[in-house]
Amino acid sequence: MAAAQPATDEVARRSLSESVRRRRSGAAWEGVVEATIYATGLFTIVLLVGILFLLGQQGLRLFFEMDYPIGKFFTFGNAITDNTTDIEKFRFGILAPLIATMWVTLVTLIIAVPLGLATAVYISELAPPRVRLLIKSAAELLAGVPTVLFGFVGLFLLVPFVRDQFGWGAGGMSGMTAGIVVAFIAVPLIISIADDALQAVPLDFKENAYALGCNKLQAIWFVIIPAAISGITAAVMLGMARAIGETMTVLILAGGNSSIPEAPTESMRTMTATIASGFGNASAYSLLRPALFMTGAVLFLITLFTTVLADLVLDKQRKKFAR
Amino acid sequence: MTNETTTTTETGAETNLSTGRMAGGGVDVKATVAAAAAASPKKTSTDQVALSLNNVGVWYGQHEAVQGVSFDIYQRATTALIGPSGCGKSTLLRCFNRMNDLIPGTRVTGTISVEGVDIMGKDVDAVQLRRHVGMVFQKPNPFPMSIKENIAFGPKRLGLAKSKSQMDDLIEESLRDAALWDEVKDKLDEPGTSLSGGQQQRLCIARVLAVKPDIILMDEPCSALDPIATLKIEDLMRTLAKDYTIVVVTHNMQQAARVSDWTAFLLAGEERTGRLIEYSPTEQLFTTPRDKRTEDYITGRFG
Amino acid sequence: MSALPGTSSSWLRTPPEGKRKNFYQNVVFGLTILATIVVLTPIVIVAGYVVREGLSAITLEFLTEGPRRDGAEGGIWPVIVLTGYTLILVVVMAVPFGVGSAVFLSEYARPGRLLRLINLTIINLAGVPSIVYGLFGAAFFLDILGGEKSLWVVSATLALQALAIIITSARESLLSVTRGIREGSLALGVSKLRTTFFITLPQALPGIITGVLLAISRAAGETAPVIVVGAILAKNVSLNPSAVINERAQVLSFELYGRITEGIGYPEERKWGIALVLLTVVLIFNLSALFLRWRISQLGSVRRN
Repeated sequence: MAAAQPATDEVARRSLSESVRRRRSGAAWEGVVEATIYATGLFTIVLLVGILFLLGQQGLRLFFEMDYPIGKFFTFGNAITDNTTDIEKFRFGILAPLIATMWVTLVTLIIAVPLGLATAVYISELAPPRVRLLIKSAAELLAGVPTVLFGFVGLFLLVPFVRDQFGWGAGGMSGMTAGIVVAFIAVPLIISIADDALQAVPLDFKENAYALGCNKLQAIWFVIIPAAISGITAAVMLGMARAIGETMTVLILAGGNSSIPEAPTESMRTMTATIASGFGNASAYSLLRPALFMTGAVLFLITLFTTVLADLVLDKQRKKFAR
Repeated sequence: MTNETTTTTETGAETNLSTGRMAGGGVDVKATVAAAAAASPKKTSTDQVALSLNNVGVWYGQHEAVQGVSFDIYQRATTALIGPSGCGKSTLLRCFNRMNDLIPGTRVTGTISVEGVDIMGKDVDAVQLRRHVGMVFQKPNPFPMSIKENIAFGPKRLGLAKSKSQMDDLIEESLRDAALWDEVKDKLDEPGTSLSGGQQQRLCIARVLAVKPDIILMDEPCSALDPIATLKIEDLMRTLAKDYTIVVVTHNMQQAARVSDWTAFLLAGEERTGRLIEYSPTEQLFTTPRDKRTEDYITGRFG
Repeated sequence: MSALPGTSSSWLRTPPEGKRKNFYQNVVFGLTILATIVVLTPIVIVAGYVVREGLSAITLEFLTEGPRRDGAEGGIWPVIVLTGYTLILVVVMAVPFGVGSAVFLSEYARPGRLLRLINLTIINLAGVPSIVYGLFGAAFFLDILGGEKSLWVVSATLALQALAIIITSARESLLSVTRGIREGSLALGVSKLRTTFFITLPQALPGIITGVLLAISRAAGETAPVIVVGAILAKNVSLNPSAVINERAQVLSFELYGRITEGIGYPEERKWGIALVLLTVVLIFNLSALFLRWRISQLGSVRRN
């Protein structure tokens, strides 16, 4: 160790007061790297925030440049994706896609919420750790399967079944059919967030419940679920946002009728499906392109509102158990 | 360090200690301290002031955590900061190497000077300062690397060793100085986290020693350790005090009495603002405290 | 609970209403297990069906040759290669910006109202429907930057969505690095940037890679934005990377969708073949991410011991 002494001492034993006022070697270079990090961070954020702005700007052209009546956009009961520049012939309202989205989302939630919450309770409170890990992984795989595959398999398995058994929609393609499949797309998200919420309930809550003579079911029902209720609410809301935004399954399975659906069993076209099916042949100067951007902006606002609300609810949950 | 280079003056206590001063309290500190030191000749300091605090206050946003603290910390001595929890002792300690800079909204007033330079000054590089004023934390925090790499991390980043053999020497020296070498010399490549809590804490001390600091701050270094590990760290602190200036925050009064030469007692009132109540040689503070509140605290009547 | 024979501790035995309670409990717990099984069956159905129907289409010709007669014969080699190019471009564009932003958010940005707003935005961006990214891509890359419908536009659009995923996961794993070891490094006089590079980032790396893998998997399977910014069905093109970047994109997900909807007379078996290739690609990335995450949790538990 004596060998190390002279070399290090030279640096170490320099007067402290002098040393602390010296610039470090490489400080300038570090400044450049840090500035890059700042720039990257800000650039990305500006870019992402730009989405809303850009969609709105492109969409609002419909009303302000092309003079399409705002009232007609929001009340006209059909969404015909004609690639036209003729304002008289353009008959596009967001009402039909909006209602279609609502139907599909409703069907999705009716199926996905009980399934998702029951699964979350099982893996969080009942399953042995190994099973829990296995199911969580499987649910993540489920979430990772491309939705176009769900649509494809649904087309082959569910659509003929629905057509033959119930005769819904257009040859078995209906909001109901799509909603059933979307439920399985939304369910992993619900499970994951509800499970997090249940796991976040402190152990002593449970122990107290048991100490009072509750059995496991009572402990879960009267103590754990109420304690995790805001997280569970958020899980449902995020599942809802997922269903609203899902495109491929509804595009393939919901039938594609552009008028207002009066029941979930009808053929319909949601907001996402309207955009996906119409955008390909919407030329740059047509009325259709801004109309679809406007539809996208509305879709974005709806999902943003839902997720922000869910985030606020989750924040409440986090604060409740913050120690 | 193994080479004994202590130049401790055993007798010059009266004259040297006259630099001990205290702003608040209105008690004649000088006389009391001098008297106490004369009564019990201390082995302490080399009459050099390591850190000089003048009217130091710390704010967290709108909350004043520490107010009007002034005293001197001597070189190559161990100074203990004691007081009930929430009295601002850790907050104060973190000012000495500007770790508080990392907590947004923190503001430090007054001056803390080293050799006449205010370390809070704009011209002082906090990173450079921390290299000279090392810190050991409450919970052992070894890096997720091997024992060897843990020690080498600082010197490598700061360019302190020129060659591999120099680095190896530095690693051995640091581990020896931290009284850990014999326990780990055969497993230097194992992860630092595989050690026991006490060993991990000594590893963290060795890691600090490897960058050759002048002052070592210890923030309740034994609070997460068992009694035997605690005794080992205390032994180590006494050894290190021969070569380093040590400032230790502890909630354990026995520990302060065992390891320190000087003790500062801080106390927070209703408004949770910590103030310095008494600063004296340790022996005096524990045997004949000047302040009633100090006496209450050390006899366990509150806190 | 069984009391000792001969003692009078009958209160320790389950009373009748308790037995009823236990019965309900078992019914409810049985239902949760049933729900779990229902949730997991689609994976088995989708995977099983795709493999069963698709396997017969998978031949060497299908995987390594270009399409003939509008794709009804030959293979999907160009689609596979261009999907690869697309994913590489997505990584090249999204990873540096994603990780950079995450470092900015977790290490440098000062907490406050603005950071909270930014965090809220970022979290929600991961929840934005993929088709909205498609619209944004069309508006930004096609209309504003004046790009042609091409592979790079598709990649850039998919990269936007990947960016949101990568930022969220990287930020999370950076934040999960304990403050203790950061402070340990800083207290040695090591600068913040070096601490970030030598302590924080290496610690967070497995988590960051997991996020990147998931983002790639997502980009590979994403169809809606590709439809919006425009891709084409399998076609023989030069596979030289520099030339193809400005060519129209061909990706697996769009190939499948296109064949489902437009492929009248397109052999059924070949659709399942495409589905199988797509599922394989997606699952490879997904399973590696899961495996990596599992490894992290294993290491984590070892470290705690």
